[in-house]
Amino acid sequence: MIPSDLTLRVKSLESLLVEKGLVDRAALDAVVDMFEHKIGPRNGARVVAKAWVDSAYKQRLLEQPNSAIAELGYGGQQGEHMVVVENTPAVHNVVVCTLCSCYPWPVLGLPPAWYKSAPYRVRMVIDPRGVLRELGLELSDDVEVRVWDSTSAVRYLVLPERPAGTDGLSESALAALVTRDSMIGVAKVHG
Amino acid sequence: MDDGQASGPIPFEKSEPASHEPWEARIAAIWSAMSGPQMQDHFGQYASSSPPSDDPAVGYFQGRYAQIVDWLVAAGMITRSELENGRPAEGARTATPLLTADMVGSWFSSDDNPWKCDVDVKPKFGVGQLVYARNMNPDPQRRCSCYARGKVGIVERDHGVFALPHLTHQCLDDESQHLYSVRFTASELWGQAHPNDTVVVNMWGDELESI
Repeated sequence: MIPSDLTLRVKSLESLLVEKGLVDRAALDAVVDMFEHKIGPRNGARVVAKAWVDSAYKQRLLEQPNSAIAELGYGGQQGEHMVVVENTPAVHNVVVCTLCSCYPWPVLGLPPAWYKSAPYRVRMVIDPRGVLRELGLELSDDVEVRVWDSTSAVRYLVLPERPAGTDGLSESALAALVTRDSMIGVAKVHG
Repeated sequence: MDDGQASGPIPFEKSEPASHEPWEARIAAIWSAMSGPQMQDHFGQYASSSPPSDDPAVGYFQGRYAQIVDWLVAAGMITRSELENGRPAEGARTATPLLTADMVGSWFSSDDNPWKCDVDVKPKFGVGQLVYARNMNPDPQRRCSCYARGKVGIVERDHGVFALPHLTHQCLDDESQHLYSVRFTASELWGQAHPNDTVVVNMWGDELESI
């Protein structure tokens, strides 16, 4: 297969930077490994599931999110100052970064392309219900849709509502239900 | 960003992977490594600048590639000629990488916050207080959610004292400020909007006034 133009350009840039001593190739390998295996929404799903089953943990998560998230071994870069916002029957929270793509890497991984796209970033603050509808979520008129515009200093995680009919499930089974989209706020969790 | 670019459909993909092609992960790693705290002295001024292009014809990672090249050239670390030739210029100095593989794990998990400051600054506003978002143009310019300027909202949270974006890692006594989350009704922001909807915007203390 013929490599794309950008495959060649990025490879050439990396080689130049390595040859000039500006980056260490093994360090880049380690960063890619972080992206693919160490950070990601499965981390956030564990946080959510624990909050669902342990009310004291949920309280800590809402009041001191960084230390509560760290209890499960997660934290660090691009999540240094976290805020967790809880969805309720009255309030549905959703996160956007109108300026760029600020996103809580330790619990959600790298942001998806749609989150970084101009249409999402602009339209979510202006017409959140329209955007949510487009992404498959319809909310009733009596619910407050609260949009959190993230910036580099503050990263948000939505604590979605626990779906009905999941009382008998274990924490790990609950975590398997939690999607990345529900922790951004563009979807609900289904049982 | 013009209305045409922003008014289109959301390019939503369910279960989207972190990167679609290996080069995307690679450029993300290069950007991450070059804009990390180890490179703060070299790239701090660029890392707080604008995001990649919003041009829908230019993908996000393609924009990141162009942006990191611009940073490297502006910082004098590479030349466009070297990039085109794929090799250092004759006689070019060889540096020592500031980020090595053994540092990556602790770097990613470090709770060192480059923006938070341990500086004693009295808060100007309290949670629940009505505030007005000033119509201002600070120097140096800051990236802002400028759609909230001139609007009235309620302080939702006080996040504590932070360094201004252009001073990341520098907690100067007279430049560090409280960062607030301020909740505005959608009607206040846009005029015609759903009466139950709100938008919460992060704003600096000097961007707000008491009412």
